[in-house]
Amino acid sequence: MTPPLSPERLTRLLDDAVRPVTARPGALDRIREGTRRRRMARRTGVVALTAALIGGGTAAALVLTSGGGPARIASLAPSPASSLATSRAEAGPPPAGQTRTAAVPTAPLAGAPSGVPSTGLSALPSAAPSAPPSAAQSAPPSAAQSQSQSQSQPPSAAPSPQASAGQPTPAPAGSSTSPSANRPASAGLPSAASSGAWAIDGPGQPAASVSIVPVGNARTTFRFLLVVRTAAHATQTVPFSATSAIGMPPLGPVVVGAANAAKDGHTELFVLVDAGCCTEFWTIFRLVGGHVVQVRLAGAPVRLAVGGSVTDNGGFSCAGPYLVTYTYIYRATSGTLESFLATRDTYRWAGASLLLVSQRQTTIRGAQNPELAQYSGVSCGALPQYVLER
Amino acid sequence: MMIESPDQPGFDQQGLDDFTALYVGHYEQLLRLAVLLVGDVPAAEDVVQEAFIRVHRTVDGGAVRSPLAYLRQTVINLARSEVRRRLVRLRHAPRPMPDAASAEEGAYAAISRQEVIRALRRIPARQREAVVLRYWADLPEAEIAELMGVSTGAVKGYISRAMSRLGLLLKESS
Repeated sequence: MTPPLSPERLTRLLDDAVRPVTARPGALDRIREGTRRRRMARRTGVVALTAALIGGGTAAALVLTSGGGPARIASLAPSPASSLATSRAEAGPPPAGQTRTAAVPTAPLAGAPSGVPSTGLSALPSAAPSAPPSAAQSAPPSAAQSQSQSQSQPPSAAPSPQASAGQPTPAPAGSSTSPSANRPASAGLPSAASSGAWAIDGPGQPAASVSIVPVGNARTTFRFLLVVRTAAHATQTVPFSATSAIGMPPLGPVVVGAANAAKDGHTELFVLVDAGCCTEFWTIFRLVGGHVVQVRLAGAPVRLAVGGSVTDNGGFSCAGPYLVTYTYIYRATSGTLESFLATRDTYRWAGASLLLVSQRQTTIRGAQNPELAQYSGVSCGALPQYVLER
Repeated sequence: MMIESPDQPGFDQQGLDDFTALYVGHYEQLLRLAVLLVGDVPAAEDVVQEAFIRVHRTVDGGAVRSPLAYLRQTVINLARSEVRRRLVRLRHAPRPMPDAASAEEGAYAAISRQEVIRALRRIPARQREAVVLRYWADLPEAEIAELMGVSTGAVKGYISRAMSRLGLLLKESS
């Protein structure tokens, strides 16, 4: 039987532990600066929202308020023509909690559902044609052209180079022979995402309107709802978990885009749910039996690793009825050559699940080995390489 | 360690605006509170600075009667979220490389390595909050209950279990 800790001793231990902690110089200045930026951003948001409302039902403004936190509305454009006419009110995402405003010419915007905390509306992060994604910036001309072409078509009809199952995917756009070069220098917000109406019912059918709504405190909650408004399947709500806005600034989870990943006529929706310094995790939603569900892998919601750093990287490709994931991770240095363990897993789409079909692992030597590029990047319709700026 | 109040004798507010007075009077103590709740200094700094940014507007507008209570509540909520977020990250974090720099390297590494901090990390968040607020911030149980949004009885339970567990953990480590 262990004697309980005495309150006096615990108080002394706690005091001793944190006594060295002091305020860093400039902390007050940083707080004031953060406050000032948020105030400015809120004003910008109000002005842009007013402008969008004046513009009538043809424009949807996105506003991310700092006080109550974000709510996200995305993928609203049923018209292919509208998908290209996007604009960004800001050059880049604001710091966490700041008001973010942009106008996306699209269908009338539906608000957040009642009963769900939502203090603002936000369209998908968009990029003007003049600001192509970083993938296109670093990719060979052919890859960039392919991505550009796919933006002008509905995602479900967008052709994309796919690897056949069992074969390594060709080096995707944005990848290079150097692992460190796989991370774009300036990964702008994806243009594919802004044009990605979710053709949930197949080509020619009205696109679904998608929004991500936080449950509880909008900046700190880990619980979110994907609200999908479809013509044929009414409004559906799917709960899911993701890193909060404060943990993944500026928005928390966002819709990455839609792609006909399973090649079945319906498109799958990809949502960013977590991000570290270099790797993002995306999850997938799809329509199964008339219901929108979050795809599962090995019994848990799927999380696809995208991107990485010099020591590890990940990506995936859509290969017909298969989804192929790629990762490599640094293992050791032997002599002058680094050694990487590369893994390729092939999954088959099976309703709401991805079933592992095959796994292949290989060791690749040398950080400059071109083979490494085959184990990173995203090759799936018009999906971007990354979502967040770094 | 009572969190001092600006109206306490000796606290000089002359020449300071409300917000600066709030910062001078409470920042360091709230930072220490956050360190005890989240377990490391950089994350605690983020939490407290975010709390101050949030409270700045309300202080300016005079919308909050007790800025200190508001700050403390915000720090606790943000610290709770930070811990949850960290758990999610840990679940998916790649294993560190043998020669990679440790997260514990830095000016405040010693704090993170303190036995009591490590022990606090190993008890449930609610218990950690209750015991820190009771025995470090010296708050009465009723106020802790209000801050945590639970009953006083629940707070007593948290504290009791936390003390038993901490006693065991500290004995093990010593």
